[in-house]
Amino acid sequence: MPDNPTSEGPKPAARSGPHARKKRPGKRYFRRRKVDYFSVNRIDQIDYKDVDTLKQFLGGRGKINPRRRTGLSAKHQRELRKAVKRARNLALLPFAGAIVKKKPGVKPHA
Amino acid sequence: MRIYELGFILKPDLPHETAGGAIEAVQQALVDGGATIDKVDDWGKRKLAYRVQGFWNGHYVFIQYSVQDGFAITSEVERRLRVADNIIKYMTIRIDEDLKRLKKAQARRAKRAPRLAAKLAAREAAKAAEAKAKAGVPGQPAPGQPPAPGA
Repeated sequence: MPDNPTSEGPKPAARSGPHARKKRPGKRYFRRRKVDYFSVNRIDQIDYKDVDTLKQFLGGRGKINPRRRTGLSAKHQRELRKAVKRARNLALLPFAGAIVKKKPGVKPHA
Repeated sequence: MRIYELGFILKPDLPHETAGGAIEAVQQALVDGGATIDKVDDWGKRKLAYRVQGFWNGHYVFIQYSVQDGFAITSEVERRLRVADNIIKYMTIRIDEDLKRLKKAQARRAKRAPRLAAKLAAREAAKAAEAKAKAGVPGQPAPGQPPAPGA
């Protein structure tokens, strides 16, 4: 299975970058490995004022993406939820419903 | 000692002096209540994510302050913000515990920094060795490309 760590092998080369597994023609393809954005980038605290970062984890209508899409750890997803809700309170992020325009440079996460 | 962060949004169309005066007034109110201002972050004008009191833009200001008895001063300042005409939205959050956690996390990270550096160096070295080994064998793809499955 793609998420099984034993089949990935313990060698560190397999873990370099989120695009480590790509679709192979004619073969069964692997899901892209999910990485915890905040762990990878060594961010200690999720700030509700950092709108561009938070936006990566919102869907097109401003909803917070589920963990299966964001790939965050439970802890970070919790912190993200809190930050997004705070940001919504100050009109930095929309409440779900409106269509959010994503910044062209920012790649949607997962 | 409690530390709070107060964020508020001023109307976007205020003249420069009025906006500055309003920010000053909030700070003055905090100081009068016994708080010390730690940080003032003036973002300037920014688009709002949704309409607030008919405005689509707003002037964001964040003030971080610390105070011994937080409740009285915070509720008093919030009351003033609520009745102030120039302020369309505000939010106060308590951040001392968050800051404490942040400090702890940073300390842990600093302690582990040499280990992390060593790990990254080892990984780099392993990669270089692998590339070298690959380059030694003729007819191999360029280093960095994953080997073909079953190769």
